[in-house]
Amino acid sequence: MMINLLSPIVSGAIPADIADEELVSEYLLTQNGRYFEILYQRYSGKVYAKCLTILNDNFLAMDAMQDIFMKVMLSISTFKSKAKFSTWLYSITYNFCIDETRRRKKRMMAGEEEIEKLTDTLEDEDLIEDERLISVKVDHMKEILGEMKEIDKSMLLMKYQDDLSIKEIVDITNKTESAVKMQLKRAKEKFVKIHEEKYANEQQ
Amino acid sequence: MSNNEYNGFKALEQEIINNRKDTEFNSVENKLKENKNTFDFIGNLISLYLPEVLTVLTKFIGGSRNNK
Repeated sequence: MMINLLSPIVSGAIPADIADEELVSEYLLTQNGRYFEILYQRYSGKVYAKCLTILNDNFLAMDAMQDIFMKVMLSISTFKSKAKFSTWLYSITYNFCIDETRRRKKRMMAGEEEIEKLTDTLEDEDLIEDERLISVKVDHMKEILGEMKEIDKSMLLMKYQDDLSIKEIVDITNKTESAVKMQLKRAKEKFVKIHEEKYANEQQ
Repeated sequence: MSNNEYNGFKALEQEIINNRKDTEFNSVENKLKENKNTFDFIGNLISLYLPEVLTVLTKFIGGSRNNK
């Protein structure tokens, strides 16, 4: 087998369209930090946006982003190439932000666990159309999300920002499918309720 | 959902990305690089000295067993 010693990667020019998963495997193979830098450049903005939306504070969001990428760097060898890198990264991001919130507000945790226990047995139809949520203006969106609980915001971001399936959200949150559906339904209801309370007199 | 359809959640994400401060992002990137270098350094030390440490330990354990 002939080895191309002058392949673009070896000579330093990494193709711009190289897949995330390929960057991970090259990083693991060579330990060349340039591969990780590209992943950072591709995703730091998105990770920061999620942290800021969930944590509502720029300093906390920057710290969280640094810790998340540190965690990614240390655990990247556990990434399974069958999965999408972005989904794996978002999973770390959401779990980190939710854990961070729980650390800061220990009292909230007991309340959420109660809801989780209930949701396993409840089945209720979700009547709110997606269009009603995604059509909200950015400025209103900021205000509404700012008033919601972190776990509810995370659910909405996973579904409407990252287009994750229920199965993927189940994997990320470690909840049952019915618990995820119920949490999502409640998050949508809260979103619509806040929207109506705040902007009932305005037209979208 | 079609790609052209407005999505407030994605618009919000884009707005935050557009308004981010590059200096803060660069400083996080530099800290990550520093940490990587530290980890590499520790990793190199371990891989360099681990065989010797293992040899010493094996000898020590073997020796203490023989003394029993």
